[in-house]
Formats: sequence, C-alpha cells, structure tokens
Amino acid sequence: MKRPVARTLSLSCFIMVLAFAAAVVAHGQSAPRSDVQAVRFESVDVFLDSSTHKLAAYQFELFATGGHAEIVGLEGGEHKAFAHAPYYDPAALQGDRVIVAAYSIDAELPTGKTRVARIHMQITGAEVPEYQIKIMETLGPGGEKIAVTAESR
Amino acid sequence: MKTRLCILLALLITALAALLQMTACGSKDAATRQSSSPIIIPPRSSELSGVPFGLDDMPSRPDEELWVIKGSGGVSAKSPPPLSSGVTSIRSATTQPVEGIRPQQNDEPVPTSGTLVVQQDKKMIPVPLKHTAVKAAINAYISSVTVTQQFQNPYSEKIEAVYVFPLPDNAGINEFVMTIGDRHIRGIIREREQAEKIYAEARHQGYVASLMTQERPNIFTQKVANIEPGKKIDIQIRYFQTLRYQDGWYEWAFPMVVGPRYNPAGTADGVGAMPRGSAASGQKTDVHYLAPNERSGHDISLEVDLNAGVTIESLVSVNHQIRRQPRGESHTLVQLDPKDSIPNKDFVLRYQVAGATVKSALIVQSDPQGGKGGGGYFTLMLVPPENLKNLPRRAVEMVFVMDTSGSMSGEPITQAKSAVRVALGKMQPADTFQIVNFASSASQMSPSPLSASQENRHAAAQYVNSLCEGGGTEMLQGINKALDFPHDENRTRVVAFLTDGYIGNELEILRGLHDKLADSRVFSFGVGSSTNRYLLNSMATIGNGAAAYLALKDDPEPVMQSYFERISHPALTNLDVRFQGMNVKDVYPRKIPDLFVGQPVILTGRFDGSPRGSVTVSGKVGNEKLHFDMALAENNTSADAGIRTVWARTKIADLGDEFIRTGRDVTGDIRNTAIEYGLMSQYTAFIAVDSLTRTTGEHGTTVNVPVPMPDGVRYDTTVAPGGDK
Repeated sequence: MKRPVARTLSLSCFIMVLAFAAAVVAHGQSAPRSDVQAVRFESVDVFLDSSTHKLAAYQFELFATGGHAEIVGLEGGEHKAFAHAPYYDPAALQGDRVIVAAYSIDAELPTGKTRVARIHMQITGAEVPEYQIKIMETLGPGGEKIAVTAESR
Repeated sequence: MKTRLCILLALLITALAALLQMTACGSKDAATRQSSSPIIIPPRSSELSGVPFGLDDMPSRPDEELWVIKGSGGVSAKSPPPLSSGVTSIRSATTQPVEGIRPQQNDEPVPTSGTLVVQQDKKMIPVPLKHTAVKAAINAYISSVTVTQQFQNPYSEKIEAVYVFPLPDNAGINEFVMTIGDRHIRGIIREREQAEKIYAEARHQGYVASLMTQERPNIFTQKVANIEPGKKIDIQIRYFQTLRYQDGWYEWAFPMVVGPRYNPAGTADGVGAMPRGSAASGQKTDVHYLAPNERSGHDISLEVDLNAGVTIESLVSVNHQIRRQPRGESHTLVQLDPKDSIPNKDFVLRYQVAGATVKSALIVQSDPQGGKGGGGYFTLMLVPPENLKNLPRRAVEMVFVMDTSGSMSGEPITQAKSAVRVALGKMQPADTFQIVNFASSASQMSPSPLSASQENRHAAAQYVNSLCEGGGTEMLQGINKALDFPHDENRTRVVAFLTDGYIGNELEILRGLHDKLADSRVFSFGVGSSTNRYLLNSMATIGNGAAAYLALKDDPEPVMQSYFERISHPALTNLDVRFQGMNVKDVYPRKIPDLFVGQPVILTGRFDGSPRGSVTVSGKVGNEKLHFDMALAENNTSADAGIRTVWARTKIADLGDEFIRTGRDVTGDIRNTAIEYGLMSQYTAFIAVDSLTRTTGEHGTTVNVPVPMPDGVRYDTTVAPGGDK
C-alpha cells in the first residue's frame, strides 16, 4: 500500500512543479506583452477641406485629450503639393504643444478634402487619447485667407 | 578495462585532431584578413558551365563563401564551398552573432552578402549603408548643406544599422527626414534620453525608426531600426554653417570619415577605434574600420553650388578630384569626380574672390516671430584693420609641439616635420624656441628654450628629423610640457601644436589647456587628410590663437608663411563692438576673439527694429588703443534662411566654451536652446518613428557600418590588434 501512495505523491509533486514552471513561463511571456500595451505607437491623419478653394498653406495645432501622447514623426500628405514632411514648431513642443505647418508653391494645389499630414505618436498608458485640430491659418495661392474644415482620425 | 582505455585514447586523438584543424582554419582566416592581394580559388568545372553570369545571377547558399576575381572581363571564377561558412564575413561586420543571415537576392546590384568579392585588390564588404549624397549651396560666407544617407539591407534577415560619421563641428543641424519609399517622415527633436527611450521602444516593438545622436560636436551616430531584407531607408540631414576665411581664401570643408581616436587610460566616454567585426571597446562610441585590403560598397557623391556674390578668382580642391561647371563669374557648380568617391578624406574647397581683401560683411535674417516691430538675426564678419600689418611684433618664445603618436605615422609626420623645418627657417635672431614631442609620453629638445641662432635652428632641424613615430597620444603630457616651464617676460609665448587630433578625451585636453595657458597663445595645425577639427578649432579658441590645416598634399611653405605673417604682427585684443542705430542683443561669442592679420572673426547676434547704422570696433594693440568704424550697407540685407540657426548653434558652442573656462553647468541652457531652435546637440537627438510599418519578429541584428581608414593613416599603428589605439 505504501508504494502506490508514494508514487501518487511523486506524481503530484511532479505535476505541481510542472504547473509552477508553466506559470513562470506564462508570466515571463505575458510581462513583455503588458509593456507593449503600456507604450504603443499610432498615427493620426489630419484632413483639411477647402471646398473649391486651392489650398497653398496651412498651420494648425493638434490637441490630445486623455492619455499621454507624444509626437515621434511628422509625415506629409496625400497630394503631391503637400507630400513633403510638414514642419513643426520646436519651441511650442517645449510646452507640449504640437503646431504643424506647411506651404506649397506648386502650380497644382489640392481642393476639397485632402489628407495634409500624418502625425506619428507614441502613447503611454492604457487610456486612449482623443485628438482635436485647431486651425491657425489657411491660405490660398495668392496669400489670401481661405476657410477650411478640419478632421482628424 | 582495456577496451575502455582504447575508446578513451581514440576520443582523445579525435579531439586533438579536431583542435589542430580548428587552429589551422583560424590561421587561414587570419591570413586571409590581412592579405592585400586577391586569392584565386580554382573553379569547379561543373559550376562554370553556365557562364557568363553576373554577380546578381550567382546563387549563394548560407554555407557558401564565394571568391570572385573581377577582371576586365567581369566575373571569371566561382569557388567550391570553402571550409569556413559564408556567414563569417557578415558576422565580422556585426556586434552580435548573425548565424543564418544570408544575402538578399533582388534587382538592386548590391554586393552579395555572405560572399567576399575581390575588386581591384580589395575585398568588397557588404554594408547596410550604400551611398551618401551631399549637396551644398554657398551664399556669401554661409552654406546650407543637405546630406542623404541611403541605407539598404543586403542581408536575408532584418537588421538595425548603426553608422558613426562626422559632420563639421560648427554645423547647426536643424532638419532630419526619414524616407521610406515615397513617404517622408520628419524627425522630431527631443531631449536625448527621451529620444533614446522612444527609439528603443519602437525598435523593440518592430517599428521602423531612426535616431540621430551627437557624440562630439563633429561626431554623430545614426541608428536605423528594423530594416527588412532588401528594403531601403533614406535619412536626410540638413545643416547650416559659416565658412572659414583665412589669408584671402574662403574654405568650405566636408569631413567624410572619423579618424581612429586614442583614449588614455581611465577614459570611458571616448571614441573607440575597432577592427571591423570586433567586440565593443568599452568606450561610449565605437568606430569600426575596414582593414587595408577591404573596402565597402559605400561611396559618396558631392556637389557644391557656389554663389560667391563677387567674381571668383581662383578655386582649388585640396584632397579630391573635381569637375567644375562655371555659371557666371561669381557662380560655379563644383562636383566630386565619381572616380574619387571613396569617403576616406575631408573634402576641402578653397576659393578666392575679387579684391585684395574681403570687406566686413553683415548678413541679416528677419525673425518670423518678431512681429510688426521687425527684428531678427545677423552675422557679421569682422575683418582686421589694414594698419595692423604695419606694426612690428615682439620677440617670441616659440614652442613647437609635435604629435609623434602611431596615427601620425607615415605621411602625416613627414608633413609635420616639413612644416616645423620651414617654420624654424622663418624665426628671427631675437626669438627663442623649444621643440616638444609627445606620443605615449612627452619629451623636449633641450632643458630650456634656445635662442634662434642659425646653429641652434640647424640642430633643431636634425632633432626633428630624428623623431620616430609610434605609441599612444598622451596629448595632455605634451600640453604640460609646452606650458609648464617659466615664462620669459620679454617674449610672447606662442605654442604651435601640430597634430591630427585623434584623441577621445577632448574635454580633458581643452580644460588642461585652459588651466595652463596663462599669457600664452596656442595656434593649432591640423595635419592630415581627416583631422579632428573640433579639437583643433577649440584649442585655438581656448588658446587665443588660430587654427590652420595642413593637408597631406599641401605645400607647408605657404601655410607656415601665413602663420608667421599672423604672429609677426600684434593682435587686436580686448575687442569691443558697438552698434550705432541698431538695437543689438545676445551677441556670440561673448568673449570676442582677438583679431589677427589675415584672420577675420564672425560674430552673430539678434536685433530689434531694422538693421541699419554703423559699427565701431575698438581694441588694444599692445598698450595702445585702436578704433575703426564700419558702415552697414542696406544692400547687405538678405532674406536667406539659416542665420537664425547659425546664431543658435554659435550660442551652444559658446556655452560649451563657458563650461571649459568656468566649469559652470550649462546643460540646461544648451538643452533649452537646442530644443527651442530644433537643433542637434549633445543633450538633444532627432527621433523618427513610422508607426505604420511594423515588422515581425525580433528587432534583428545590429550591424555597425565599417568605414575606411582616413587617407594616409596606417591601420597597423592605430586600429589593428596590437596597434597604439
């Protein structure tokens, strides 16, 4: 009677050790995954709609509410006139403000709704930030002010 | 028992045989690395049946190493798989093992990795940096330069490319764009630590990202993470800088390679010089060098659009062959000859413009944030008054300090010796002189300075001829030797420092120089094809002297003649610059350098209102006061961009000098200025992440881009195991 009990005990111990090892491995695997979730990267597309007006220059400020978002790259838009990477104001960045601007002297300029910039962000924390655009300036080819609507996604 | 013994014996013999074979392989590999001539391995007849074939057509297996002899008829032979794995050549180019990585076969004519290609007696080493394109535009004495580094992964697995490269020490770098296909992503300036964290996270998560950091004002590191096999990523950098003007010549220089630095014992934040593929040196930054019998496929193209504003009378390229396309009397396009496209020496362009001397010139740029009140930034080239040349000098106590370390071995030391012999011939009887030489330690010609008699100068020339080069670069010992002995009150002490500047402890050297300087003046001479201009220019600034450069192809006679011309007349010291009719502030450098004959000074500052009026400069020549006025012509006004950047960069350099002179912690001031103006600095970095391109798997192998040795510098005395560095 003693031997089967001992065998059972040994088996139990073996299973416990195995389970513990599996838990350790599982924990080791999940730890980096939670890190990945803590810091992630995403992009924000900014669209301007100038209706029938030609868009030659713009300047806007991007706000992020909720979550901790930092700009890590600034990409150009879909139209050839704004394909080059836009500029940002480094001084404003010191105050955690993201001010983006671009201009084009191309003869062919976009009208209607166009993606003018793609902003690459690093997000820290689980909270999902929401983005808002505040237009500061939009100009036509002659330097005249034009009205636009803005959208980010 | 006997059987067991036999088995043991057999095992022992087998192990010994294996060990012997391994040793033999090791020696063969070492011999191959050191060989400078091509090795021809007979082709297998079966593999030649398909000839002709090109490099791109050649199949390569992971376990295969290819030796190709390229002659006039192209590829002629392919070897059977050798003993060593094809991975060998890749492993040696990386800091981590890259087992299994093999070349990517694609449409681009990239060198087949995992293969060794022999071309013109050199083994072609595949590297992830394919090409550097430099485009410069010079207007008056300000240049705008765009540098594009074209990275490409020639391997079969994704990699992180790391490239340590030089830029001019006064470059104000304010633009960084990463291009992937037709997408352009502007890099963002961040505090260095923060940028490094973002890069590490993006790299870890598989995103394509790039990071540029500054290791020295003239040494930078470019990292590009997660480059997939066959993929290309371009990094474009733009900077502004002011040109040097000396002895009637403007000079524009672009450094192409970081020279091998020596790091004295105890240095941890130096710049290591390592053979390609070797482990880290323990220094903060490492430069990996190709052996003399190797070259990489990395080449360079360079174009300078020179718009001098006045007639260009003569133009020379000091180290490179060029092509020139004149576009008018004052405008010309200069291109690097494609035959001279190996990036192993500084590109130095010198030109003279019409008129005996350059006029003091003011260039302004309005501040876009200045509002309705106007205002902006300016640079002013302050030219010494002509009458300075009419004043005689005091007798001098000349101390020649010669770097005789291993890196100076060969052509550089020959050039330095010629320069000192020329200088000895120009000394006057009332002068005295001393010769100090340093390598692993410092020594001097005589216990005390000698009179400049013909006999003594002859003896000095013989002493110089007898100097042997080799050993480390204990520059501080040379400085101490040159400045420690009692100062002769009747003579001006002038120290002429001849060195390539290949040291990794610049800050220690500059502080040491400042602490010992007293009334001495230091004139630095950069000798060689790729000198450490940051150190040499800073030594001159701290030493209240001037820097000059002696390339390997330069004639030392005119260079030393100009130097003697400079020290043969008193300098205009204690300078004070007053602006009338123009509200000026924040002028840098705050301590205006002394004015020497043939050596203007560039000031930069900010102004309110409009840039009109005149400038009065006052100073002292010996004990006498001197004043001169300059009118600021309205037509000097320029709307060109760049002055703002030049101003901020000069402010950062000035803060660095302040730290050396006073020890005040200027970290915060430098960082804030750099971030406000979007500039690269010691405490800031450019980061760019493409959040749309996430690659799979681990971040890949780190591949350090190996660079060629600077022209004229010996590998065996600097980089090779057992070398002096």
